[in-house]
Amino acid sequence: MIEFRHTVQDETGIHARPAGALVKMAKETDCVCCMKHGDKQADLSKIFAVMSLGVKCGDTVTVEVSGESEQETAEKLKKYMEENL
Amino acid sequence: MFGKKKEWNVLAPMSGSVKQIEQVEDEAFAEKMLGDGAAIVPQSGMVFSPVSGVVADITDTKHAFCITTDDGVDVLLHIGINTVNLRGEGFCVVVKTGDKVAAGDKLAEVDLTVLEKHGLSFDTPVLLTEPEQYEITHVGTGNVRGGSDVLYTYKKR
Repeated sequence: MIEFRHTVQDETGIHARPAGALVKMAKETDCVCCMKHGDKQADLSKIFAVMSLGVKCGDTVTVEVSGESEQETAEKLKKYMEENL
Repeated sequence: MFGKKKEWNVLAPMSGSVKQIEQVEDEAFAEKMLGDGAAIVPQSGMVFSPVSGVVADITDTKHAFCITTDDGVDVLLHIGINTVNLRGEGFCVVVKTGDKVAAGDKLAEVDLTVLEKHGLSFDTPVLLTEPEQYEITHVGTGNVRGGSDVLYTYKKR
């Protein structure tokens, strides 16, 4: 399993569009991807779950990726989040 | 869960004209990144639940609703494009997370002039967020009445 943290800089937090992009990436991989925010966690392949985390600007989330292509998937998610969130 | 019924209806959440999802003025929606369905270009601000189920989540900015139907299908209603930036301005929500709603129940009222003032598109997609599991079978056309006319039908794959 690979884990990374990201602090959201986008002033609108993780809203529908970035959530959709993350979900698309999570669905495309063979890995299990999970996002944690405080005591809540969401399956990154489910848009409802991700939006329900209610991640706002300044919040730090932890993303866990496990599976065969975890290295590649984690890097892709991390890159997207750093560039867009 | 899924009985003998083969197809389910998703009602138009607002009164206006039907727009194919591919034509929505936002590539994330047009490319079905958030799910498959159709959109309404509303002509009035009353918002009704497109399905019967439970309000699973309402964004803090009041512009997006997640509703899980009685059959466990997740439906995302997103009012306007880039409306996250309004931070709730112009939106008056009358339900809360956890509420049970029937198709056609009022969810909110939106002041469309606020969207217009900020130059935001009115396009309002209603999406099934798990298109791997559900297929859109028929999409309405022309003008529809919010809360009563069918926006589209779907079936389980």
